[in-house]
Amino acid sequence: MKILKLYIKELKENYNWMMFSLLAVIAFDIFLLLRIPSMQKGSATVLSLLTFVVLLVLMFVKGYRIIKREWDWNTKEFLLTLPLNGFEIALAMTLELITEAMLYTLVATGLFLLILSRDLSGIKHNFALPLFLVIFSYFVFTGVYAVFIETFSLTLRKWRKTIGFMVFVILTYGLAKLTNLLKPVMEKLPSFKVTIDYMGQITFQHINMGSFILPLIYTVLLYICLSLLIDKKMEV
Amino acid sequence: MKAIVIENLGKRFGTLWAVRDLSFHIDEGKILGICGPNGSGKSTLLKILAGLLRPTRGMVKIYGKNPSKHTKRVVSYMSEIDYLYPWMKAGEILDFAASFYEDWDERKRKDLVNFLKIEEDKKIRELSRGMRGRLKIALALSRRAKIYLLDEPLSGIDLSSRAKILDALVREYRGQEETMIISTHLVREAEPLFEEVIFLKEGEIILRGDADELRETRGKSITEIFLEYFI
Amino acid sequence: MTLIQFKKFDESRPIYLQVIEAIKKAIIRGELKPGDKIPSVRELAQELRINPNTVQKAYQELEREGITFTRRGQGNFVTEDQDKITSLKQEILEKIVRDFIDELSSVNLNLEDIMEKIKEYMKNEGHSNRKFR
Repeated sequence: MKILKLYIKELKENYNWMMFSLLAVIAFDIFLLLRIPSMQKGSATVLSLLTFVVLLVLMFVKGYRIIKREWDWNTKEFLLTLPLNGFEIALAMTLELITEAMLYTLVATGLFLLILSRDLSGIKHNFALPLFLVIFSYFVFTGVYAVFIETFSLTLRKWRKTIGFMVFVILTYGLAKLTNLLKPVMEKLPSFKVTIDYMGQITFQHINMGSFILPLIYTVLLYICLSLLIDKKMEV
Repeated sequence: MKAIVIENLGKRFGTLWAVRDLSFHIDEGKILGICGPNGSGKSTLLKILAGLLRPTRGMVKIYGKNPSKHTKRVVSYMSEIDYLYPWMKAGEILDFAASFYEDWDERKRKDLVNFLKIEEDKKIRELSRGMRGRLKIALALSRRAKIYLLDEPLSGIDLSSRAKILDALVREYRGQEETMIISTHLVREAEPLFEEVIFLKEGEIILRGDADELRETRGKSITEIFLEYFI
Repeated sequence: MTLIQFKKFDESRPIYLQVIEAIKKAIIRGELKPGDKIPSVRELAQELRINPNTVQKAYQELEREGITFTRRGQGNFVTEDQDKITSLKQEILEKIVRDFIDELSSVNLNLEDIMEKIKEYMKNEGHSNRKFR
């Protein structure tokens, strides 16, 4: 199938970057874990957060690069003469991002559980799944978001960087506002009940499904907009 | 049967009209040469036919349809620039393309790779200019497409590769089943291939005709006529 | 089959006419005998690096003139009709003479001097062994 072929090509193209960035992050985390054997309370959480942010940024760069490379190499002329419509091209790219996000998430979740096990003496299994889902949805969203922004700015003729950046800021702000607005709606959705054993203290956390469903909804919307952009506005 | 119909086609980039008010049609089975200097709109025209650019105004029909995913199925486009994935091997890009086109012909591919002496195991970024040009041709011609759009297939390529490319074009020509448009400013070498020619200047057609007829009525080669118009 | 004496064809004249002339000359010279198969459209186009449709057009004209005929599935063949070939020779001879005389008119000699020159040339260049009757 055509989309599959394109997806495989994207994977091959990004293989090196993917492996390298993951190994770098793993090495970085393990290095820190070893260097700071006795972690203060809470610093494990900071490290986890830091790792998460780093990976998020990497996903963004990843998405940006997928598109930028087609332009720098002029391979867009090859890609856009293939008998595919915007939805198919966008799908292949999104699937590739999902694959990478999956890998990133596995690594991230693994690392977090490892890091946090210093602070949390008892990790209950029911923590891993919601953590995984939330992280995954954020990674996927970030990747697709980057692809969308970059594709959008490339459909502009002038002042790509400026307008692209402005759109990025405005859209991010808009999405944040929208997320706030939708909070009451999201709260109606079921939650994961998580038991955490923090240095002997048992606490219950609720991780609302909305925290991963919403990013996924945004991702789908971005995918549709991306497909339409490629179909209607992309010129080479 | 009209393979391509163009009416009042115009394409503007900002304030610049790359192509202005073009109208012509091409019958099935013809080899058309589009000649003109750089910037005359040849690439723009081909890109519009390939579906890479959208017309600003006017109409383009390929077998009665607007350029779209569906026309791309039967159109084989070869760009003037290097547009293939540098990390892929020559054989890889051919395999890759094969999976997208129903009209891909594996026998033709093997034949052309052999004839054009393409090293399939080499990465595209390692290929010489001449071989890259030959690879592009092999890529474009390994299909039984209805329309071939070749943008400057001979430019920037060594002499023997050019000869090979011309040979390949004649060899693979399938008569009534295929229409070919070749854009070039190297008129001299390509002119024996053209059945019809169009001269493009600053986005407009300044001459159109049957090649042999032009030779007869003007007593000159297409190259000589070209030089008359463009010097 | 490199019988076609095309050192280089002249791009300032219609190519299909030159293909026709070349075939006719080959027939007259005896390189193509009556009933011989002439190169296929594809072969000739490839050899000359010209558009196959141009060759096709030439072949169609040759067939129309009765110089060649098509055998379905086998290709194009030189006619076996001797009369046709003889009149072809006449036709080509006429053309050669016409072009020759046209060129000579620029030299401005009289007919006797021209004939002398021809005889002289033939003798000196050892062409007497040629088939001139």
